Amino acid sequence: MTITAQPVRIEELDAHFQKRRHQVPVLARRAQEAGTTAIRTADDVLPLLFPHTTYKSYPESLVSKGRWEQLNRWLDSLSTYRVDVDVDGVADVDGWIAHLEEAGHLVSSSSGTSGKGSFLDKSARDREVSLQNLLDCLTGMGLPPDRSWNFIPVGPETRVSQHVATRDLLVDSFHRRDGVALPPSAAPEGHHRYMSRLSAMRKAMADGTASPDEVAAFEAEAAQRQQLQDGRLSYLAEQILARPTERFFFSSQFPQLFRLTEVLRELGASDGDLTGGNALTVAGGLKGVTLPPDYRERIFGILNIAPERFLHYYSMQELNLRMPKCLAGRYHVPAGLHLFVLDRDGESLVPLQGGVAEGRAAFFDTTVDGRWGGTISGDKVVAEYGECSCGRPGITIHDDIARFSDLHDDDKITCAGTMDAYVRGFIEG
Amino acid sequence: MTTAAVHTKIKVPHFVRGKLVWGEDCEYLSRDFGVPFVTPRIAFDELFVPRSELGPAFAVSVSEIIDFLVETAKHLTLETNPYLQESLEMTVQVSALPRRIIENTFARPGQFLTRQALEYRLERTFGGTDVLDGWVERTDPSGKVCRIRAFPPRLVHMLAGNSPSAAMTSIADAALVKAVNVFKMPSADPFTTVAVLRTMADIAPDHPVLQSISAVYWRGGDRQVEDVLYRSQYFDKLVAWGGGAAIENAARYAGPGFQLISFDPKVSMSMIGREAFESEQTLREVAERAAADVTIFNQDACLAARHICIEGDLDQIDRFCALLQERLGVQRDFASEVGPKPNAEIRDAVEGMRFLEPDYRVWGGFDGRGLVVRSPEPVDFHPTNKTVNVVPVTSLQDATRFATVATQTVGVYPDHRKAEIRDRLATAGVQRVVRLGSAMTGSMGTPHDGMYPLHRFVNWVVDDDA
Repeated sequence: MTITAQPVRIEELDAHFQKRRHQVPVLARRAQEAGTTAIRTADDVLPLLFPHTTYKSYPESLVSKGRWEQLNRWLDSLSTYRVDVDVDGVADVDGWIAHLEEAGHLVSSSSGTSGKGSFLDKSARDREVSLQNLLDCLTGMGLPPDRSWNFIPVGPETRVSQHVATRDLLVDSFHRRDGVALPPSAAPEGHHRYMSRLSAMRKAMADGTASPDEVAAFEAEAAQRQQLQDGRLSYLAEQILARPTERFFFSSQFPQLFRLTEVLRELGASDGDLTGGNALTVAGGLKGVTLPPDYRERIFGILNIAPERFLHYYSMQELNLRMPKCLAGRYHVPAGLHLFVLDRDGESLVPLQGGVAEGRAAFFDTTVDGRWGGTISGDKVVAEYGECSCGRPGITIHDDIARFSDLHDDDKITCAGTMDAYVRGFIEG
Repeated sequence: MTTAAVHTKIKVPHFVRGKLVWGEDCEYLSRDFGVPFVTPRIAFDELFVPRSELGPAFAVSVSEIIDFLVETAKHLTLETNPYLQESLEMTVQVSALPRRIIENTFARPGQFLTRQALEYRLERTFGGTDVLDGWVERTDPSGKVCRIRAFPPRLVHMLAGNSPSAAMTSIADAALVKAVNVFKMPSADPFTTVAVLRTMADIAPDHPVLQSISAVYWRGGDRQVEDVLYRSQYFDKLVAWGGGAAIENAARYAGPGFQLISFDPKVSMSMIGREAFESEQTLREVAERAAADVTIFNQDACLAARHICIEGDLDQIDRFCALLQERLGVQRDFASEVGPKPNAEIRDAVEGMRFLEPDYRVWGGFDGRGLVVRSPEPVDFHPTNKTVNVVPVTSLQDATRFATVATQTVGVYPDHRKAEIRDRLATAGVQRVVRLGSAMTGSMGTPHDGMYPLHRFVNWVVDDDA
């Protein structure tokens, strides 16, 4: 087997570095520490890629104690354009994000139920590129924006402006004028507020300051949010079953989509009832939710989705560009995106063995405007360099992507603990 | 973390009731460096005597067992013990700690095993040895008579593999209560338990204590083994040292008749009063003592401090932080001058804080020599790899709110102020309050993790005449 080095497009990277190194303070600092003034080799660029955790490296207390001025300073350190935004009257994290959006910083935040959220400063241009890329991916697989579908935003719905913008774009591009009436955006308000409260609640549990009544109230609220989502899914299911022969275009994540198929079955539907050639777009994997091993077959069966009408892409909020999956089952890395396959620790490039590299995925997205485009992900990937069996050239990623955090050593026993072991989670909200 | 250069397969023998068993039936990877090792297949029936039989050591007196342990300790000296030497060489290949520190842990792993120490411990735990050796008669206030025995239990021990002395401690505990035992060895060190047992077998190959012990390896969570063994019909209690997926997994087997005795994974902290600033010399001494507690096993231990709460004004505290950072980079018996570097999570969070001065301040870098982070409240990352978080407080009383159910040891300066805060610490969940700088030492016969372990190990059985 031949062992070669991964191809790296140095000149392009250096051009971006020269532009951003005077703009993004953390990049400037890292470059200074490494003594890097120009990217001449792959080794120069690796220490300058930001681990995905960088975007949640702020102290949690800045949010829980409402220190918005300091949160601005933290965000500024990772931004291309200065975060000089008045935070007077900001009451909570949703308010902070709203203030920043007014000033052109379209802060993207993701937050899990188990930890604190990340904040990424995106510009209007970032959002434009990302939305256009979504339409391009769909058009590229034969799903042009022709407003010929019943477009079903399965959700989960939030009022995060990026989610809303994506949903609106897809509705405007694909939904028939006489299509099913979509439910009013029923997302409970204050998505980030809720998520940051969830995070604060978890911390309070760990600190021992949360009272049992507070825990009970929170559990109840989470259950209520779940119920709202289920109500929305029931409404959508009824609309779908009322027009079984029409064409539907679903947009979702797998766990929520699977729940929809369960609701459909509860309403008496079975495979073959829907006869339109339906389409689907899904971002990401299972988000840590466990589904039955045949969940895809079950979803595709009842929703009547064919592989050629299914846009499954790999991306992350650090990237504007998507990697759409081809019919051969591989994610294709587009031209504007650099892929680096690194070792487990994210410190060096792994060699290509027979044109294949396996390791931690890192990216440089040349279209990223509001930040530095270099990111080290938490994902373990297998990448192939050469022609894909679908017939197209270029770099592809196999579809069995794992998160390193899920690949923990299950035989490690240690007396040195962390608080995590002592906190039981809340129900998913 | 670097990769070990040596990648030959290490042969790991099992120890089954006095006999050494070699084999290459199963292959595994070690915890920290993925070094491959091979073990024999486990023959379940041979591991322990069934409930229908009395355990081999049930009728042996504690005094006789102590004799055996004390004799064993004499032979547990690295320079003269070939098994320890061999185990050391293998441990060096799979451990995250440098050779020098491992050698220090191997030097005299049995030094705590003296007759006086063991008898004192049993006295503090059981009020003597008679209740271990037989049925002790008691008469209650109404005149009813019964006989009590701390009856030998049937135990599975999931070892953590921190050090040879931990292996020796588990063997001694198992022996003192005369238990029927299976030791599940850790992948971080599947060697040392067997090395100690071989040493014992050379002294008295057929000793009933050894007839009561098997030490084997399987991968934690292997259902083919755990579904079979973890049953109340075979064992009374699962003794779990530490935490992690393997223990969480094993804990799921706990149920009626099969109890979990858990030595939980813990974190530790220090609390320093304003007396530290009485003089430059005092401050230097306090910084040294604080650093000693932080750096234990390069901070990969439950009793290594991770947060330090300190009274004082910011200028004073910053001076302390600077001195502390200097002392973190000192070579010690159980700490490296340059240890493993802080992980990406710490690097990210600390880089972010550099933009948040003066509320946050950082001393040191990410080079493994020690990193001090001052913040208005405890940081939300887990300080490890010689990273310590200093939190200014208005009073030590106030600092006690940062102690939680996960806190094990709290080191306090000055010594006399322990009394001022120990009740508040204990109600928060803390189990051990010590003098700053003394986290690693301790008195004999004290409780551990909120219990007297041997008292929990045994089965308390009554023969009642009432």
